[in-house]
Amino acid sequence: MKKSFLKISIGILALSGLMAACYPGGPEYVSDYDVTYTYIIDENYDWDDKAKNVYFMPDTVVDVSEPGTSPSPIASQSQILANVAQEMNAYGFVREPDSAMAENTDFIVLVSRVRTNNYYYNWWGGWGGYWGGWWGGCCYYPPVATVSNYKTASLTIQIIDTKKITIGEHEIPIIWQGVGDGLFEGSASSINTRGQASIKQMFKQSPYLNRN
Amino acid sequence: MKKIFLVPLFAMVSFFVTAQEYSWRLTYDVSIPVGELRSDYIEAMSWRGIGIDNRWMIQDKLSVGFAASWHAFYEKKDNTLETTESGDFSAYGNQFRYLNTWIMQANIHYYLGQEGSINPWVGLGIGTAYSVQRMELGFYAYSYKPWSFSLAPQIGVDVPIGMNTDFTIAARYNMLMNAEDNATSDFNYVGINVGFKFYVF
Repeated sequence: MKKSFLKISIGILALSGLMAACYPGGPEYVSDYDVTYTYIIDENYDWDDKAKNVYFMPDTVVDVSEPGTSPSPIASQSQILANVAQEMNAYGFVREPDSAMAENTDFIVLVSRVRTNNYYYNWWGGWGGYWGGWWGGCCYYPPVATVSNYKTASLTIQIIDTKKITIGEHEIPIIWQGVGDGLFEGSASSINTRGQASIKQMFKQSPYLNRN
Repeated sequence: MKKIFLVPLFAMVSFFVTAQEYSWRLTYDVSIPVGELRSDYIEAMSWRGIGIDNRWMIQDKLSVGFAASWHAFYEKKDNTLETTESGDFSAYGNQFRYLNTWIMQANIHYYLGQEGSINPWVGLGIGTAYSVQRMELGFYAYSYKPWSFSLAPQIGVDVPIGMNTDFTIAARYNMLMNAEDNATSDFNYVGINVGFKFYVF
């Protein structure tokens, strides 16, 4: 009876070991956290009007990170803007280079980015007691506190209906927005490649933007 | 106090149950998603499952009892694009999909053979189940944790390998019915359960 119980107990424990991971697997690479979102902000905008295809894009990527959280930019602003312009042009948009003519265009395209430092804390231990004497003693586990940090970044592209802009109004008539989210970790080359892929994906999953 | 309560309980059970009338099973469960669970959420098999099944013979070929089991599903879906019905919002990325189910059922079984020989059986489990469905995309996760009504028609066979031990293998169709409005689907899957049957005396 005792031997049977022992065998059964060992069997249960062995099988229970398989069950320890309720959430087996998970993200393994930095790129596993990359996500691309696109939103049609103005549901009433008529994307079927293909005649509207002229846009103006400033030559600056706006950085809205909190002061002190941004390391040096990995991708140059001109590289990011060139990638956006390439996708816009492939979709039949025509770029107006003169800022003085911006109010005569159909769309204004704004590109911005933000980087964030995320901290999380963990505290465990601090239990048990110490007893014993000259022979050694036992079993106090001092508390352990850990602090971890990871950096995230987002790249945002916004398309604005120029004709709906009212000078002095605080609300900007954004009609479409694309966001690329991910970990701001890895080599400069990796971050650049992932950023370019995110911009390409924003337009790929928004076929209604196509002016052709 | 506990001992005072347990002694008459065991005495009462012993009066009604002989050595061969009670048995319990411990199984390793493999599960295969079917139906909407497979088409809408997870296709991958679960290789993580455990089950315990207790049965009392109430007639020569009929037993009743209760069972509990736990199954864990996982699948990574690469480069998945999800778009809302209206088409206004789309999200693209690697999805990590998990499903854990805990099933608790009363059961009844009919045996086609004899104890002590190869003994096929059929049965039905009825009860409840608690599930945790979790989907991770980037830095966000969606969780759904329903209690469900559960049914499990099943078929199996016990093969004696020792005086008090049988090898058992069974197939079970687990149906977890989610009636809530935010339910993604019912959770239906086929289980293959392999393990041992023990007699306690």
